[in-house]
Amino acid sequence: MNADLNTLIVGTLVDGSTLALISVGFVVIFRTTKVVSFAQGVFMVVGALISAELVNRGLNAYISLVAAALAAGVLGALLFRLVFLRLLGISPFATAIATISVGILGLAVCELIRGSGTIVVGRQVLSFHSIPVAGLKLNQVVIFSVVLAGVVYCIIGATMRWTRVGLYMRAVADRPVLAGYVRIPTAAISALAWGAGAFAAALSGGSFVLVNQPTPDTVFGLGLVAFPALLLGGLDSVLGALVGSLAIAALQNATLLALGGSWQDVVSYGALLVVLLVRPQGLFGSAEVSRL
Amino acid sequence: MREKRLNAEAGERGTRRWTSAVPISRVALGPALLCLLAIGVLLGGDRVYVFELGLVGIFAIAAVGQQWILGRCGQASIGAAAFLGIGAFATASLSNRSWCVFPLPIVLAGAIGGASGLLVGLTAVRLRGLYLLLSTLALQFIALFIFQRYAGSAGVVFVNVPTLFGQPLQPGVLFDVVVLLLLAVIIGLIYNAYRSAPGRAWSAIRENESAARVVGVNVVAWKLFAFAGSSAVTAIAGAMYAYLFQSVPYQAFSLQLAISMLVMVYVGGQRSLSGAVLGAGVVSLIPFILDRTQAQATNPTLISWLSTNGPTLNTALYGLALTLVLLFERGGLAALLARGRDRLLPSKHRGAGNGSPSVELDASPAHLSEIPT
Repeated sequence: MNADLNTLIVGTLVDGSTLALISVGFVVIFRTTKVVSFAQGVFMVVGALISAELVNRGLNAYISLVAAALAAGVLGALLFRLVFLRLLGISPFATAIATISVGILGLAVCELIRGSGTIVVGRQVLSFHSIPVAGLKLNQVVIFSVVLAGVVYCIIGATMRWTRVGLYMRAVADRPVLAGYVRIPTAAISALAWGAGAFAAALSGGSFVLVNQPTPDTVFGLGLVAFPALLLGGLDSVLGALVGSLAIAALQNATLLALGGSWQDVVSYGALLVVLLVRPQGLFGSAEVSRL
Repeated sequence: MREKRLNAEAGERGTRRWTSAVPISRVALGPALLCLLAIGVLLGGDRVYVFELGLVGIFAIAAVGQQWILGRCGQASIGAAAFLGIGAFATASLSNRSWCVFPLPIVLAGAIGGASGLLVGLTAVRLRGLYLLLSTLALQFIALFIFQRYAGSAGVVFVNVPTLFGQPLQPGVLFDVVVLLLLAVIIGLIYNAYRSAPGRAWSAIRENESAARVVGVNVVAWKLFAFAGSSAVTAIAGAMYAYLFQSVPYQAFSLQLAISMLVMVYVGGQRSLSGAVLGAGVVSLIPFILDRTQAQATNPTLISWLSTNGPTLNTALYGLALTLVLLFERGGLAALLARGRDRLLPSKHRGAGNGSPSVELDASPAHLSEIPT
C-alpha cells in the first residue's frame, strides 16, 4: 500500500479517536443540559496532567489514565453544581461565555499549579513499532486509541439509549420542569452528564500525552478543534460526533500531507463555517438544535 | 386610571430626560472616571502612565464597539480580535504608502473594518446565538491565519510614524489626547444613536427578533448596520493600536485578545457604554498592576514568580472576574456602581425606572431555568 495513504489512515484513526472522545463528552453534556461547553479543554488538561504525573510516579499507565479521568469527572460534576446549575436559564450565549470564562480560569489555575511547560511522560507506554493488519501498517498507538474510543462510545451510546439514566437524561433535556415533577433528580442527572463529559475528555487528554509532549495550552486548544467535528456531525448526536470527528481528522491529515501543518486549523475552521452556513444542524443533528 | 398614571409617569420620564435632572454619574460614569484619570496622568506626565492611558483609551474604543454589537444588538460575536487586527494591519500597510497622509489610514482602516464587518453580518443574518458565536470563532482562526501569512516570516509589520502639528505621533501626551478625543466622538455618536430610533431597533432585535420584525423593524438592515458600525469602531481602535506600538505582530490578535474583549464588555457591564469604558479600564489595569508590582518588588522570589507566572495569573483573574460577573451581577460593574449610588444617594428619581443597567438580562424562553434542585 502507498505510504502516504497509510500515513493518512493511521493519522486519521489516531486524531479521529482523540476528537471523538472530546466530542462525545460534549454531546452528553449538551444533550442533557443544553450547554455548549468551551470548557472541555480544561478537563483534557486535568486528565493529561494527572495521568502523566501518576505514570511518572511508576503507576500502570492504564490505571493512571482511568484514575485521572475519574478525578476529572468529579471535577466536571462539581463545576456543574457550583457554576452552571446557577446559570441554567440565561441565554445559551451567556452560558457559552461562562464556559469560556471557566475554561480560561481552569487552564490558568492548572498552569499556576504545575507550570506551563510541556507535559512529559517519562517512559514509553505505547510503541510506534509497525504491526501489519490487513495490508495496513498499524502500531500500538492506533490500536489503543481506536479501542479506547470504541469502548467509550459503546458504553455511552448504550447508556443513553437503553438505560434508565439515559432516559432520564433525555427527559431532563426535553422538559426539565416536567422531569422534576415526576421525581427525576434533574440536578443530579445533569451533574452526572457533566461528570461523564469530563471523564471522556480527560481520557482523550490523558491518552494524548502518552504519545505526544504538548503544553497545557496545546491540549486546551484541542478542545476547540473539536467544534468543527461536532458541528459537522450535529451537536446532539452521539453517532454524529464519531462520524464528524473521523471526517475532520481525515481532512486535517490530508491537509497536513498536501499543504503542511500551518494550514490545518484554518481548513478545519473553514469547514466549520461551510457547515454552519449550509446545514447548521449538521449531518445527524435534530433540526430543533439549529434554532439555539 | 392605571393608564393615566402610566401616562403621567411616561410624561415625567420624558420631560426629565430633557430637563437636566439626569444624574451625570448615570450617563457617563466610566467616561467621567477616565477623564479624571486622564487629567491626572497627563498633568503628572510619567511616561509609563501616559503610555498606559493611551492603551486604555484604545481598548475603551474597541470595547465600546463591541458593546454595540454584543450588549445592545445582542449578537453573539467573538470577532473583536479579528477586527482589531484588520484595523491594525490596514493601518500599518497604508502608513507605508506615500499618498496616504496621516488621518487617512485611520479612516480607511475604519472603512475596511466596516466592510469586513458587513461580511460577517451576512452570516449573522442566517445564524443566531451559539451558531453565530461558532461562526465568528471560525472567522477568528481564519483571520489569524491570514494575518500570519500577511506578516510573513518576520511575523511583524512596521508602521511609518506620522507627524501631527510638527510632532511625531508617538506614545505620549499628544497621542493620548488624539485617542481620547476619538473615544469621545465615537461615544457621542453611538450614545446619540442609542437614544433614538436606531437604538430602539437594536434593543428590539436583542430582546426578540420575531417581535421586532412584527412591529416593523427591518431586522436584516439594522443588524448589518450594527455589525458594520461596531466593526468599524473596533478597527479604528486597531489603527490606534498600530500607531501606539509602531509595529504590528500577528500573534497579538489571537483568541486570547478576543476573550479579553469579551471580559471587558461583560465585566464592565454589557448594557451600558460607560460600562464598556469602565471594563476596558479594569481589564487593562490588571496586567499593568501586575507589571508594576514586578517592577517595584524587592523580594527576589516574588519577582521571579511574577515574571514566569504573571501572564497566567492575569488570565486567571480575567476568568475569575468574568465568572463572578456572570454568576452574581450580570449587569457588571456598571450595575454594581449604579446600585451603590442609589443606596448612597436616595434621590427623587429612585424607583422611577431609574435606568440602572441592572435589568433582568437574558430572559430566555426558560429552557432549564426552573430546574428543581
